[in-house]
Amino acid sequence: MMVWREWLLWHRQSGAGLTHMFVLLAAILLPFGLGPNLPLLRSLAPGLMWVIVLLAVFLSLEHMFQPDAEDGSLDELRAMGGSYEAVALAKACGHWLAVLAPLAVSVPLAALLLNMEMAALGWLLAEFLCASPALSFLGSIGAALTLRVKRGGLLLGLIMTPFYLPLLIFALGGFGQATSLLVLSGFSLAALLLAPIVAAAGLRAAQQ
Amino acid sequence: MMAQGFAAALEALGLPLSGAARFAPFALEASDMGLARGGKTLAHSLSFGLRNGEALAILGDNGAGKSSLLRLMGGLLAAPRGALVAQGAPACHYVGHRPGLTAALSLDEHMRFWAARTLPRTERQRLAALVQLEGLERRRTDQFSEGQRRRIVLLRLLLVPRAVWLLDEPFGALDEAGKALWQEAVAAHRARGGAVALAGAQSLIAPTRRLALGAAAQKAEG
Repeated sequence: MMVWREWLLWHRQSGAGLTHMFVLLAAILLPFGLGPNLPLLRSLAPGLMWVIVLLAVFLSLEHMFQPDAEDGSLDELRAMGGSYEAVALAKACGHWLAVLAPLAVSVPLAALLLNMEMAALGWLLAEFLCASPALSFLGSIGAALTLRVKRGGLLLGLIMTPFYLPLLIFALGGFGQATSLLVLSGFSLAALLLAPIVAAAGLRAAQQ
Repeated sequence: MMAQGFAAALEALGLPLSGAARFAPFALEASDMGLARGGKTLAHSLSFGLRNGEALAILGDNGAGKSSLLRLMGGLLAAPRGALVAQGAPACHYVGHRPGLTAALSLDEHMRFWAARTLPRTERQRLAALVQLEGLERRRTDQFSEGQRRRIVLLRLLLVPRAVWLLDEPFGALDEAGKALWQEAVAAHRARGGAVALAGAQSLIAPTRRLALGAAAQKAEG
């Protein structure tokens, strides 16, 4: 039930749309910024795509808890869900479904704009899918910890960097090999289990 | 007339608030409990109790800690000293200044979310009619007036049966009809064994006991 609500909210309050726009906009601008050097684009494409995706997801994180905390819905969500952990879990799942899953459409489009070759595109998608739960769940930690912080965007960036860097390194280091998929899936699994607990602590502190 | 209309409407809708089913016995007890928020101590030693059918009126000036006390009772705030002991594990509805209405969702969607079961269209229309908002189900909550939103919050209390209602100045923007509606609902809730803790406008319900915070408490003591 909560996840249904999350789906509606992400689509109405501009959070999900913005993420797609960012990805496409970046993919349109980069070829112009880097010059009409097709081989260059092709070799840089995986790294560029990953950075674009990470930044796009980062932009959406602010909207995960903030609106509900402001209008008092967070209290009611906790009452209905029974615990902050349940709320954090539902929020992360909702984010994954509403923001990340649809990126499976815009990411290939963007990759094509960057002249990525088809085989690499397949790998990129596979890596993205394996890592996407990690992106949502680790993001929920950052979003929850910066909930009542003024200028929380700055702190959010600081928190997300040590999460994002390993993901990026493993994704690109093993690009094209199965090991990267395994590692990313491992990250996702760990995030799925641990993030709700950490995010719940952040929510609890914010609501005091 | 209003009472009969309201009760009949609740019966017709089969809402938890109607009918003979009563809340299980519970007791909230606080003895020598402190109250603090944001590092600031609001009260040193509070003692009170709340049981089925009772109504607690919380008095105090702005900033005395009425909202904080209600949040504490709802489990949203921790007590710095002592504790609130809840026997019978009653569930609470907390209705604060920002009552948890999501601007981007419509009245319809709120009802479906709260009901947590399939609500047929006719039932939704009757619920909206109950709070005098019929025909407006499709409208987003940010397009309602403040008084109308207060009536929407009442629907949440009616749809989700929880024993304790913690109301933080709920009558603010309501007109007479709206206030009467809330009074009916509170009376019906208490008749079923529920309890209410209310800050502000206690003349509208009949409190069984009063608790004063801040300067009001000091005035009372001497």
